[in-house]
Amino acid sequence: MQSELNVIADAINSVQEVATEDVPPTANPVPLEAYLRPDVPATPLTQAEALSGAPLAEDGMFVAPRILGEE
Amino acid sequence: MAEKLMKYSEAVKEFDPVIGLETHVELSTRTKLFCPAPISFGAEPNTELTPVSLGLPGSLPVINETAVDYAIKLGLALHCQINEWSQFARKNYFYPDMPRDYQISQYDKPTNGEGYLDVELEDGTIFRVPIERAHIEDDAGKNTHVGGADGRIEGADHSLVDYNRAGVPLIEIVTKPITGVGDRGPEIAGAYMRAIRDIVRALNISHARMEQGNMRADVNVSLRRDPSDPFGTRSETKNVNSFRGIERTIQYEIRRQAAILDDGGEILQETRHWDEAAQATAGGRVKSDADDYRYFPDPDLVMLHITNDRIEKMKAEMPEMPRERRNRLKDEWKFSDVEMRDVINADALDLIEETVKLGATPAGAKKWWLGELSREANNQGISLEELPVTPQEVADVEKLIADGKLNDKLAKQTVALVLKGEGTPAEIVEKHGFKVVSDDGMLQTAVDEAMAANPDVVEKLKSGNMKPMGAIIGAVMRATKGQADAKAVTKIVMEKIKG
Amino acid sequence: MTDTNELVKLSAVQMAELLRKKEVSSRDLVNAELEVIDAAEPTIKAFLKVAGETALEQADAFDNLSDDEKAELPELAGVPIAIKDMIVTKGIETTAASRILEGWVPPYDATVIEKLKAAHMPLLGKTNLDEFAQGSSTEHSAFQHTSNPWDAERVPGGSGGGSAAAVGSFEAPLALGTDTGGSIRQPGALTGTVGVKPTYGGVSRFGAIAMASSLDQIGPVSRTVLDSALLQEIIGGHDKRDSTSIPEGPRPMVKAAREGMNRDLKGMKVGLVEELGGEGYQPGVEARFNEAVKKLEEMGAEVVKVSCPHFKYALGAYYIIMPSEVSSNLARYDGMRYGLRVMPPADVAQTAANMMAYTREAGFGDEVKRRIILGTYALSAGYYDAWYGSAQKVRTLIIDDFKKAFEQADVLISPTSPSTAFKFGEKMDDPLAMYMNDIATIPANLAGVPAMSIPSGLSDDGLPTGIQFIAPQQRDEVMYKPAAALEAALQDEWNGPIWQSLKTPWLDSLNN
Repeated sequence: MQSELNVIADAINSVQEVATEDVPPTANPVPLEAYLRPDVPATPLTQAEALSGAPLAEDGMFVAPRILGEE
Repeated sequence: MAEKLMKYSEAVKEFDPVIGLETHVELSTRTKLFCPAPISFGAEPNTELTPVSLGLPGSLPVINETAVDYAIKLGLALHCQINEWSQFARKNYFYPDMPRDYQISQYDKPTNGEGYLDVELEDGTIFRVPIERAHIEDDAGKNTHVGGADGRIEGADHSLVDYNRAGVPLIEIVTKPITGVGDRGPEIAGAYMRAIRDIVRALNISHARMEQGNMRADVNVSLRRDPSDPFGTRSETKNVNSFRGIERTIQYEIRRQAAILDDGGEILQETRHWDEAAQATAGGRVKSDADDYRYFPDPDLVMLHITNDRIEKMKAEMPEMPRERRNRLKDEWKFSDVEMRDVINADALDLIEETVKLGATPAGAKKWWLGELSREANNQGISLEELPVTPQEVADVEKLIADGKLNDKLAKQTVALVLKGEGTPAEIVEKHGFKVVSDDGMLQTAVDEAMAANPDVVEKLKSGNMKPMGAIIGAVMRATKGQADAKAVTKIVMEKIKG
Repeated sequence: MTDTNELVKLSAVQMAELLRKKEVSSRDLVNAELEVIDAAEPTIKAFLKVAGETALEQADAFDNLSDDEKAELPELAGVPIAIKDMIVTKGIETTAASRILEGWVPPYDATVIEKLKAAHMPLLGKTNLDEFAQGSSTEHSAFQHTSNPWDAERVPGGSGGGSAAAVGSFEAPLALGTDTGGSIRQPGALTGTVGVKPTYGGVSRFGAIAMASSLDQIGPVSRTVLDSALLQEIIGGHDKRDSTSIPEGPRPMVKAAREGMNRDLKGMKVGLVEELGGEGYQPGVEARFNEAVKKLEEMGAEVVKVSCPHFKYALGAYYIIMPSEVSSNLARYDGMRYGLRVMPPADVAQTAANMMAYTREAGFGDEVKRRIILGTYALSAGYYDAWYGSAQKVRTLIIDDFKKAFEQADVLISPTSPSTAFKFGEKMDDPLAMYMNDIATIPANLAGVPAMSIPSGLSDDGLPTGIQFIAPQQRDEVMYKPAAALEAALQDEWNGPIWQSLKTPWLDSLNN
């Protein structure tokens, strides 16, 4: 995979040629300011809906394998 | 395996501690920071989720206006620079309670920039804590660890995840390194945390109950030999959730680090946690290059523009700040510095203010909340607020006393019964037939009987020695089952001995 | 009335006309398309999931409306549509063509799906794509290869090869796609169909599975320009659930398309982007493009050359920004909440972190992994400024190039894709060659400007070629007019639509 990654390295490195100090970055192509949502609750998912995709669930909760390893 | 600790007094003599606090305040908005999922305490697991707070594919965040307003208010209270443009960034890391595996926080463009908070120490000294920033971010869910001892993560077999808390808005207040604390680091940190708590409560932007995790702090401590030295390596103790814990964490870390440095050792840059049972911090993960959060502006959100109009609107809604309020109330109530500090330390300011508003005298209200009720709370190991008695009930008792319907003794009994849940003061007085006997005939008789039973006392009184008066009053009280008005009794006795 | 073979070749507008005249029902349309799907899928394999029953229910719901109720609905009401499986559909499995999401049935609808349902447009099913829309041939789908209707040995382009092939083979009159670097337009060019990437923020992304959030945009796939205009007006508009959604409503695109059909482009300045053409473009692609330019001139357009000097940096910037956002957007597929979970083998610690790693190893294909690694690297602390930071600056320069270009021309044109459809496997081992497919389409995504591809003819190899129109931000209607004019002019010359030349054995079998 390394060699596959290398192939576009040239194209990627070229961006630094023109990315000079005086050019401002653009994070979002269309300049907007954030819409602020009124703090009004909407109907949430039911617990069954929330858990519907869970690979493993128990007592209304998602089951995670243990977080810490054996050390 | 107890760690080696240096005596605190020696540690702070040999080293200059530098403290940093990152305080997370959970906002009391109705909905989450980035979606309209409702927020309540104690809901069934995974019932307060939208596709956004569960991190479902395709879901997108939209900023909660009230959370922004709350952040501005807190920024104003902390004298922060409120930035006209701020930006949300993704903090990328994996943890099972993180629905998107990145937290949406603010990085180089926080809503609130530099500020400060003046905190009052126990002796009245004002210490200025410099604030670096106060930014907005969302919380993660909660893990319950199963299969280990006491629900601890160590030794657990698996964890159950409830994402209800995921997406709850937080403000993280980050101090600059707090220098010049000398031996008062724990006290300053404690006073700072209480001041933050009082401010967010005054602003009504958070329930600020530490025991429920509405407020928690990451505590950074480092030592250096001399204030002119560069900062030493710091430890970061995560998620400390009590004022005591914060104070003790700092004290412990100073002692622990001092012992290591004194032995010529090096401090590891690591995250630790406060172990309440052991009253010690315990080592956690060593920070390494792997902790690269790969922050970048969240492309799902655009720049947050905070207009002057919005800031002015928030300014207009700002309530009186806790320090000003304390000073005003101290003047209004004619309390001394010491009395006021006692009130603050007992966390009784709100309760007393409310009680006074409901008609009690400041002295009367203070007497109850700092006396009987503080003792009771202490005995039960709960806060004054959690006692089953309201300012209204205290004010009612005070009114009954002022109206001469209860004496001190009956008042105490009444309050004790209120605490037992027997009802309101009026109901209790009614139910138990409490009343101050001021009926002249009944008292006359009781006094006569008491004087007849205590001729030696009467002799002393007649000779002008008023000290044994209590014996007569006591006898009358016994005879009237404590319902006599002591003042009335004294008056009758005096009349009788003057003959 | 009309037999299936005839019915499914109609444009969406024509189908809607028959619905209004009550010559067919929505159920007839859905049934006809389902018949084609049955016949074509063994060869085309455009669909990952066909939702025949629910589509028929939705058709019946439309058919049962009163005339007054129908009159309130958009023009395309009752016409069925296929959905790229990158868009979330409540109750219909949505996979992004990835093993990691296999079996996931979303509990909610994307905003565009809500709008289609409100317009009573039956959903035929979910179409194939490169896994998480990452690719230009649809070969990176975890489930199947979709064939180009023009040559079953060749790819339909990508990532939206399923939607393009479905529309191109008459399995659906319309489809939705998503376009991050050309995923709607390039398959359009390769299959002889129309594909539109609206202005960034013109169509809500809520419910579009994120690939690269600042580049992704949902758009129409159709066989005619007017059909796309009508569909874009239905799915477009402000959505308060998408913070990057533009507050203003959809532009008057249908009006512009209808105007264009008059084939009068007097007063319009068309800009030929010098950097998008020449070396690396197939001669046949260039030839059809040049002929199309002549047609535009014949209709009164003034053709000028414009230069966008920073476009040569677009590919590099794209391959920093896109994988960076991909690496973060795809972090959520960790085996915790939905989709695949793979536990580590017994000799490896059974921890959450290891489960996450094994799940992702098993669940993601090579191209997705490649981009996640690239993006993780690009965002890492020591490289942020040099990579992501620089790429965002290039973005500014490209936006400026477009601004200057649009001072000289109303609309810009280029070939959509440098080549016609290639054979399966031809570019799979050469990521750079694969990435070059999007060289002409990427700039519009970086700048957020609207762009569309329409058929420009057939190359020497008998395969379709595409021409791209690019308009200024939030002026999507500007490209619809010349696109519709050119479409009409070319069809006039060809004596009919491009698909007249398409061999459709799967339809022949339906004629009885």
